[in-house]
Amino acid sequence: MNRQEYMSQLAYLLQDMPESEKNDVLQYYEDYFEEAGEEQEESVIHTLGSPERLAAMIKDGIRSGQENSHGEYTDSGYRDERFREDGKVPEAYRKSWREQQRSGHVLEDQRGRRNNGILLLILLLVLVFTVGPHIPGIVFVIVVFLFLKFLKDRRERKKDE
Amino acid sequence: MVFNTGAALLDAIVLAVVSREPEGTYGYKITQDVREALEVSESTLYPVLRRLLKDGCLQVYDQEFAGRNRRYYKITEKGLVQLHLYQGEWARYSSSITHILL
Repeated sequence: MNRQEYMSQLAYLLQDMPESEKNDVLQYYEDYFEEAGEEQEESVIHTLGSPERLAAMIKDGIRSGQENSHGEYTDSGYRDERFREDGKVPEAYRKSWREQQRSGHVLEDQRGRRNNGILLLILLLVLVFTVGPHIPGIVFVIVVFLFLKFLKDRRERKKDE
Repeated sequence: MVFNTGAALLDAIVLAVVSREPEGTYGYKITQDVREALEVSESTLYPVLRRLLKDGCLQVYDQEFAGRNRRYYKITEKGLVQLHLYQGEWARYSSSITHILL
């Protein structure tokens, strides 16, 4: 991705912002690229992160204002759990995810477990509906088999007597 | 090594950096200067600057430079007061930590 592509992506992602607000942001980063110079273009893009991530952080920074306790500025860079790019869509875009974040840390483990639980439930339901109807038949067959075996055993015992 | 920096501390650092230039300084330079203290990503500064601007701790003006426009950020009276508050707080906080840790 080059600067132009990056900036047009960013502009696209910020279009739901008020016009003047958006222009300020875009101007800021255009100026930034200018100052850094062409040789630094790639490195700037690299440290800015993806346009999606940057847009999400900007919008969030604007929204929360002072109450910006979700991000952490560490020695290895800025980290905000909500914007970690594990998947394609930054977490910040998932509304329910935000709700969860208000109350604590990343619940990734729980989410994984919950997904597994749901998968298991679906599997179980499938089994019940496909195999289920056959169960009476199967039970019947087993009963008949056992009965016949019982009869056979009785006949053999009678022969021995 | 990771000691996390809250938004307040970053505000303080940015205010300190900007206050060093009585005539103000521009975004790119601010980022470079802040990076002397902290490994901060370029993507974090804008929201901080904007917040400080909104709170009236910084003010902006535009000035031409090398045929293009440059936006300068300058610390305000309120910003200076806030900075002094942060400086006092930091002195107290860091000395308590130092006392316990070292």
